[in-house]
Amino acid sequence: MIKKIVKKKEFTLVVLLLLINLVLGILGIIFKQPFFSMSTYKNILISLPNFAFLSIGAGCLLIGGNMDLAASTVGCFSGVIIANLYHLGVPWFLCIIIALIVSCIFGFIDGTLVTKYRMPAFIATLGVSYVVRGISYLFSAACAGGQAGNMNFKSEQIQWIAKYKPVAKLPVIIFIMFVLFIIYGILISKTRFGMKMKLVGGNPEAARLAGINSRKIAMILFINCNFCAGLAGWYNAAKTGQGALTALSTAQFTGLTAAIIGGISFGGGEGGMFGAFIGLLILQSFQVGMNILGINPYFYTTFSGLLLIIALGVDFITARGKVAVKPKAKAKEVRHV
Amino acid sequence: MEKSLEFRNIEKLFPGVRALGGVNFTARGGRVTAILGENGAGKSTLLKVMNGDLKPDSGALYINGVEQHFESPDDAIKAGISVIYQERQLFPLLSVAENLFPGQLPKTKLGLFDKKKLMADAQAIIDKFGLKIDPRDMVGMLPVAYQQMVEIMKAYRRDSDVVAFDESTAPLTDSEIAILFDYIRELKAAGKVVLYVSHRMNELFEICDDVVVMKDGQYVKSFEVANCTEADLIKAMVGRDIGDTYSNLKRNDKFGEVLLELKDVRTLAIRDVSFQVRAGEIIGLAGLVGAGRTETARAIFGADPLLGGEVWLEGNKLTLRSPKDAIDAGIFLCPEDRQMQGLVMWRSIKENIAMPSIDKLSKGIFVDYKAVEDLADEAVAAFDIKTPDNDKIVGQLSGGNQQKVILGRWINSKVNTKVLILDEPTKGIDVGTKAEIYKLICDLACRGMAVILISSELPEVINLADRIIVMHNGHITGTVDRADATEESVLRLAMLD
Amino acid sequence: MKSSKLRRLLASKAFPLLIIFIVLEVVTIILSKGTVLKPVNILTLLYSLVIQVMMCTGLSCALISGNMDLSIAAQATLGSMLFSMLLMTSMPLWLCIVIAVAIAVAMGMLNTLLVNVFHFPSFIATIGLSSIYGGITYLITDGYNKPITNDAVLKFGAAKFGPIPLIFIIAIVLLIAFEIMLRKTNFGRYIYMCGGNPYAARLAGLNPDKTRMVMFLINSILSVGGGIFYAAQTTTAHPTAITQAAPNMTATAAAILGGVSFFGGTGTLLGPLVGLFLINALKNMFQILDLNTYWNVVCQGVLLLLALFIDYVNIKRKEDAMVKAALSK
Repeated sequence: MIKKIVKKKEFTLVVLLLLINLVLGILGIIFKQPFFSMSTYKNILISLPNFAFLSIGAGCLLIGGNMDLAASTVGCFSGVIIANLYHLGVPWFLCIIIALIVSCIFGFIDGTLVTKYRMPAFIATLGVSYVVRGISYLFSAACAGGQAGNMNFKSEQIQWIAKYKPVAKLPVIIFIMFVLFIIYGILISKTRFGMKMKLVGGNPEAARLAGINSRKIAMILFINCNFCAGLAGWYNAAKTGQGALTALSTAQFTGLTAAIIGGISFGGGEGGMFGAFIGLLILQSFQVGMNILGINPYFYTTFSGLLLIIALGVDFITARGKVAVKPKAKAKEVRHV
Repeated sequence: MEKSLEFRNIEKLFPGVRALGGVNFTARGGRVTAILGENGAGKSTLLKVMNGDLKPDSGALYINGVEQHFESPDDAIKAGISVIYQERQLFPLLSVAENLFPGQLPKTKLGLFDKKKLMADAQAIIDKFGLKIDPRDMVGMLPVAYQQMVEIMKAYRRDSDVVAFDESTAPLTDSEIAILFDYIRELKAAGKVVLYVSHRMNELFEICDDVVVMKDGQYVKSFEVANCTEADLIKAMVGRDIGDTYSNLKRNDKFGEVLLELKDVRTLAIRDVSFQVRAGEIIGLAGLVGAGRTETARAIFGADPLLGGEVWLEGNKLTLRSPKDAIDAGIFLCPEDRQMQGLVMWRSIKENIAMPSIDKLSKGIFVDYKAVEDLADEAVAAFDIKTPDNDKIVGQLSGGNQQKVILGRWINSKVNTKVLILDEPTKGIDVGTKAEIYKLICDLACRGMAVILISSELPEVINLADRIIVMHNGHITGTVDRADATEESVLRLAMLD
Repeated sequence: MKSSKLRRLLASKAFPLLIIFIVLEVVTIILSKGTVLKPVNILTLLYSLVIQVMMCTGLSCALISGNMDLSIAAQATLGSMLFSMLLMTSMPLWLCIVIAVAIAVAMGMLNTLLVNVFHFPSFIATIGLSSIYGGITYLITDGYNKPITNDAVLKFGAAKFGPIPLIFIIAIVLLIAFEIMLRKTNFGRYIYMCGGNPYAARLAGLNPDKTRMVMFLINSILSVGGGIFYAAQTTTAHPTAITQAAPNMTATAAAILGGVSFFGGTGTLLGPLVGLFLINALKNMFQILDLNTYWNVVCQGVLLLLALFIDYVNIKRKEDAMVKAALSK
């Protein structure tokens, strides 16, 4: 039993996480900025939800063999919708519902472009991200009756998700996040959808020839990814009290990096939520650690870029991400009969 | 001095398979030498050795008496060898002219790209071949036949001493074939060595001077076209020592009702395909590569859209929009390419076995892992899959065991197999496992299933099938009953137009 | 099948774009009652085009050879930052320029290493590189601008030939130079071959790895060069200005609109130029109409998707033709 755990990829990740914490702790002692403290860990925890939703959404989609670069813009739009609609007097629950529905619609659009119109996923979603960004500005301008801007708002109900602190001064979102990680983790590893999803990600043609509806699964994953982004947007708006037009801009990258560090292979079909969670913890440990040690916060982006490249390298070395492993349906030569 | 191409003791081994064994012959300049052999005889491998894609494990090539060693296809081209394949290696987004001179574009005095000269040179070649192609046209837009002609013109431009044509006439119409043959005659007159790989007998007798027959990776015999008949050639191609592989098989002799029926099925690659399969029957689909066997299988399985015709199962017409429809009806397919189409290589054995049955192995939305495990155990035991545990990823298994995993997917207690289609099930598999698979096929028939077996190994088809349907060029050329089945009779139909 | 040059021009992807661009420009001129044609406005437009043209040309080169680079804006920013810092030291100008070129070469080689040698998926790897470069930029600048302190450089950035800025002329000249290389030199043709079908290219004795490397180098040099020109003209090297003025997206959209295929092996540099004109014309028109500038952003995205949709339609048409051919036999 022990042997089985040790062999798993996730074990290496947890070890890596502990090592990083150790190193940061030692550095902290050297530089007289204590790392090992409750407040440190609290800070790490609190910084997670910003990226967690996007990480979950992007991770699931990646396992299924696709990616969506429009997710964070959709999330940002979701926040903008909530803030502006509430400002216009729309009841709080409708604001949230509308934002989430709109997110799902974009997921549907992305999925259709990729599966039905066979557009290369990342250029198509890049294009959509631009469209969504534009739409969010236009929407904001329309609601404000003129200039687009970051709409401030105050709503106990909407912001409950970020402000309500039931336990140990930790906002309820932390618990929601844990619950979601667990739910999605279970979904991927224990449900039939999860099993199909991994098979589709690993070899879409073989999955099709075994009767699995690859297209339906891809659509669901696209919609889910954007739905999660919508949640992220809601949380962000709730936390900042603002529907910012530039929200979540780095979150896309962080979410994706966390997923890849966490072992979700770029070739699809590999990895799970636990890995993504640990990946996120690793990234955030770095950020909080660097903050505490007084290192320039912009160094963090550099570092996550570096980590991403290292993660890709590891992926490559273990040959899981190799494109050769993920076959596409070959265009068959037509014979003249 | 007369040009020549000699293969001396060429051997090539792949894991578990001896693709070429001690091939020895010389092709002489000024003559067209045909290379004939059924599927798996080693023709493609030989050509790959010739053009530098593969290095022989032993033996060597001699061009005009000089020993050659190629590190890459580029070396072969430099040594004067041109192979014209069916899978064209062109640049579809560039012009015809640029495709004719890849890597050797003409330069002006200033060192710039001399487009004018290129077009003129290209036009000269095109005119020589009498084709109506504009050298500025984008190759990708040309009809397939013209693309093949571009490939042929490329070889002409290289002016190689050795030119080999691999099934080059497949995409051509009669007028282009005539042009091609004129070109071949010119090559002959110029004393070049010409190799011609084809299974179209009429072409062989029209254009070739010598025929080299290969079988099971070995050189068998040479003939002079003037002194032989079709029957001689076919006889040399077949006839081997089968041993006891097939003698111990318990065959089914009780056939039931008509289970599967195809009526005038048509897809992109096949047409007018009609036949019936009864319960307990084993049908062999024979034919050479490109005949349309796999396409027929995919049509039955719903993998390719039907452009016409109908598929009936147990007296009900089937609507096949996707493989799922076929699977629900009880028709299963073991695809030709195990790794690319059959398995998810990085996932476990048990997942690959459970793939079509996931919904049946679930309780609500949750997968019943115990049931999955049981199913995997069942399949591993039934097919004797050699693995320490079911969680191992499929990519680590041998070819034979991988095939067994696919078989285990379609034959277990969770699925209701009515028709099983096997496309090249024993490709690249060792003798022992092959025997196991043959036994399995007969068992299935005894149990009342219908089995369609596609195989390039004629002995397999002849010894296992109750009836053999032979295809060529996308349609059925004939049917042979078990009693009358000999390799010659089947092969003759496989080469019939 | 004879086809004339005219017919092929009409059939190219860039031609309808040119028409749309001309229409947009005319509309803009009318709507703005001619102010758009005022010299000062045209000057602003030309200045803003410089860096876009340089980056887009570089990116198109990379794309044609079969690679993608999403770090061009970051390269430009970092390059310009480093250059301005070099200028502030006591090193002679020529040495600073040499070092700047060396930096660009290093970036190009890094791309080559990751994408061609290690086979990392190019867009993810370059996204990663982008944030690394961004991080380095902030690290060395703390988010502050770095003014250009060298008079010669400033003069260069502001120089004009009559009404046209020198740097714009240089950008166009470079574009034309590379276009000539692609179209009229054998090396250029070989780049297309290596990009379109590397296996066949090898069979023909070509070296796809080398061409990809050269294209990455050109890409980086143009990006960094563009950044430096931008800094010279605006008199400061700014950490975020370039990503605003010439985001990756603009260059990518312009390239794809201009017919440069995502998969390599086809496209020219003039097509993306037209694409750039179109995108900028749209932006202008929206400004004139006093519409929210973000209509412009939406349109860019829509145009990109449109370009991809046209690709889909072409493939579908080919497939339907195959089916028709099969049915008629």
